Amino acid sequence: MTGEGGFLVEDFLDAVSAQLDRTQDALAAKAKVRPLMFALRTFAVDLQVFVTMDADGNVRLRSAAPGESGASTLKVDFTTITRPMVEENTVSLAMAQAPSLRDAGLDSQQQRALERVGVHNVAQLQALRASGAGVDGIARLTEGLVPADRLRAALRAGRPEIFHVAPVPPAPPLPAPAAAAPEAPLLVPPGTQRLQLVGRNLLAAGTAPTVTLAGQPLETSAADDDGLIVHLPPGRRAGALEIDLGDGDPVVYHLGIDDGNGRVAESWTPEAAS
Amino acid sequence: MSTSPLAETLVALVDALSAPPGTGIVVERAALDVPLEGRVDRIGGRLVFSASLPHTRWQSGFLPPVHVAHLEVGDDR
Repeated sequence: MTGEGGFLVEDFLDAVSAQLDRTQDALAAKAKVRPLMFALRTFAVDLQVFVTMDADGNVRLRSAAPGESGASTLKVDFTTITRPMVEENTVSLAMAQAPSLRDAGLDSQQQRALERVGVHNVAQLQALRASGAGVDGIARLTEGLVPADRLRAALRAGRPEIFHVAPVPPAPPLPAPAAAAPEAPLLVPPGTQRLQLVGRNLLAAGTAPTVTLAGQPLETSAADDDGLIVHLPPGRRAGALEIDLGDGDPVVYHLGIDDGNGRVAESWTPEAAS
Repeated sequence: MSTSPLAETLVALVDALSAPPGTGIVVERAALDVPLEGRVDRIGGRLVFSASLPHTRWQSGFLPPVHVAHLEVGDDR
């Protein structure tokens, strides 16, 4: 096996599963031309390895060399599972796309302290905080290695944000206020049916933000971490466009119809955001 | 001695389960406990697990250690 330093357990499992995938692919290809074909159902292997821990706290394996005695036996079982089982046991794509702990400004020691409690990115940190642990509780879980103020800063770095809202398809360039900051009037051309919301970390909570127009929920036709497309309801093109990012502080735009002269053709009286 | 990638060894083992043509025998399921001489190499930045059947049944102090593998296969239909 590999020499000095050994290899991480996850890298080894990845290497074995890649080989098992190749096996299944080869067997499936053979099934096209043969009447009876096998599929691999279970594969288990007892590996003779030496287990060490490196300076970063990672467990590493090194295979026993010829003549070496005293190796540990690592028993690894692989079995076939169904797609729902994969989905049940896999971190959601949205969760995986969240900013990393490094992106949030935490050093390697603080990252390891959080990883020991199952937190690998900012979305998981938010989920743990929202589960009732609270920022102070998480700081205690890390035995003080990650102070509460650093956790709050990391959470701020990864929170969802909306940068601007624009009609879809993009209208001809409008005066600067059209790419409105929240609370500024957002004018869209008559006949606009969809709005594009641009931001970041929009799927950090695992679901897309809720968008309402004058209290009426809008249908979301596309959502990713950097943007949303929402449909405007027929007959209603103006009102308070409220975007709930899940942090209890909704972003509000004043949506109106542009009369062609940069003025609001459809009046709207804003309501206080809850 | 060169070692094959695990996938090639497993496919060869499964191929070996086929009964000779004309015998009317059909193998539907099989379980194997086989020794493998395995090694992990880093190729192109990724680990590749190679494992072949031992080239001798003798044990000595200069042969790679043998890892026992358990393999179950079944009819895919």
